[in-house]
Amino acid sequence: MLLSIRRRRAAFTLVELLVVIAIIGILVGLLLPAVQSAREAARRMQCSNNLKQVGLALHNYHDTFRSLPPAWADWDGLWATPLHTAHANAAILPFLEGSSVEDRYDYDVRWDHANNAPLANLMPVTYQCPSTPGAGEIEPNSQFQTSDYTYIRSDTGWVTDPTPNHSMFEQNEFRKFRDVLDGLSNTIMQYESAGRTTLYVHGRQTTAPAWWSGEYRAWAGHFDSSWMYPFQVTVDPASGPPSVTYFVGSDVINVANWGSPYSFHPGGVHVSLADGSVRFLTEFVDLDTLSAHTSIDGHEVAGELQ
Amino acid sequence: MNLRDLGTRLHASRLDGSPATVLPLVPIVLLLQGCGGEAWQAETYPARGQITINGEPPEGAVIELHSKGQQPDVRNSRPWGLVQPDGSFVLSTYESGDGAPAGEYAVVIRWPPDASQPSFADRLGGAYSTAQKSEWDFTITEGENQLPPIEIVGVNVQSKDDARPPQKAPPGPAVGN
Repeated sequence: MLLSIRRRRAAFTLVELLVVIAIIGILVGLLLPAVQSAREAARRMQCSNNLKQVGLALHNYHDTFRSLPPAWADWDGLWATPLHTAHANAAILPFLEGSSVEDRYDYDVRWDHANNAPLANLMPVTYQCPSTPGAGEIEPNSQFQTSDYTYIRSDTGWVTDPTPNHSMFEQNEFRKFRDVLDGLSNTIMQYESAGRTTLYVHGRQTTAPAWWSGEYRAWAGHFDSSWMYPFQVTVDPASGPPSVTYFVGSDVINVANWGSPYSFHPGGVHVSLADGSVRFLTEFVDLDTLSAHTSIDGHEVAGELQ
Repeated sequence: MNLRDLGTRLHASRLDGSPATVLPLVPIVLLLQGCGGEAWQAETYPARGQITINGEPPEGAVIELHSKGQQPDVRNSRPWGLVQPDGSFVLSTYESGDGAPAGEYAVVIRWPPDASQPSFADRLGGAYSTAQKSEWDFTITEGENQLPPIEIVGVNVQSKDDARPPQKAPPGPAVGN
């Protein structure tokens, strides 16, 4: 009698095993998404710290040279008087502990001159967002790495502004902080435009338009800056470049990444303000509030960026 | 489904001894984790309209609605439509052709030479390019909306090539090249 009870106790039934497995499965199912979002939260923190570091570097550059470096240098004079200098990404390297890289940069030639070719894959990791797939890979047109952060080169009220030159990094402009009449805390300096080794539209890779040359995409490219505007993009099913309707609707963030605000964080992008603080901008930011923060002297009464 | 329900079902399944009722729950729980949804978006109602400028349909013009009263949603969306060759347009807010949230709007009209190219040029010379300059109101109500037709007469329409961006636009391309 005792023996038989012991034998029955020695094993689990199939049902008991299946129930235990099912419960473990449910627990893992509950846990996995939490682990994934914890990882993404950590990547997001590192990304925001990167933007903070670059913001501090820009401040230190300003302290040293009494102005910010230009983030749009029209070397060939395509649209303005030719300006022969390096892009901000290269100019602020000494303030990001990148003096050794900056020493190799030849300021007397274009960024894509053979003299500067060794810098193609020497981009500091501070310019990369850890959430971006393939961060730090080279860009096909110029063979340079691409930065996940870009500079604002026009305010969003461009269409209706009575005068140009209202943004932090206007074209060919060595901006001084004293010009920022809206206050450094109310003006956007940089934002994420991540993953520019390939064109992403609403999270899908697709064919890049012809105008999107290395000059806009390479981390040291002279035109590596853009602005925030509403637009609609439809991916071409026949693998051509996507069709775009410009300046309509209210979608600004996470639409496409040709210099527009785009990130691989769920729901928004990081922006850094001119006071050095970093904010997370949601996809449903009010266009008027966003527009107010893109200008340096619009005198708008704007709500908080969120 | 909350955890207590799940527990009850697990308990029940142990009682009747059938794992078949438990195992299908696993994928359901996994699916529930993935559910997001754009909770901030407002309900939209289909809306279409008609426009003529000097008696002709302004193909390629952009109609944009700026809210006048309460914000339609948290980002204060601007429903928009692209004028077709016959002068008709369908409003979109979040998805193509989804309509507009209910409310009062001022109608803003721009006529870029080609909306698929980044250009600030307006063939109407910016005459109706802001909510302040708007001369029309649309009211979107729940259900299907047939908007009152807009007829603009006696306005100077520039040809596609003559349309120029605002005089003081900054140098450089609007977006790329």
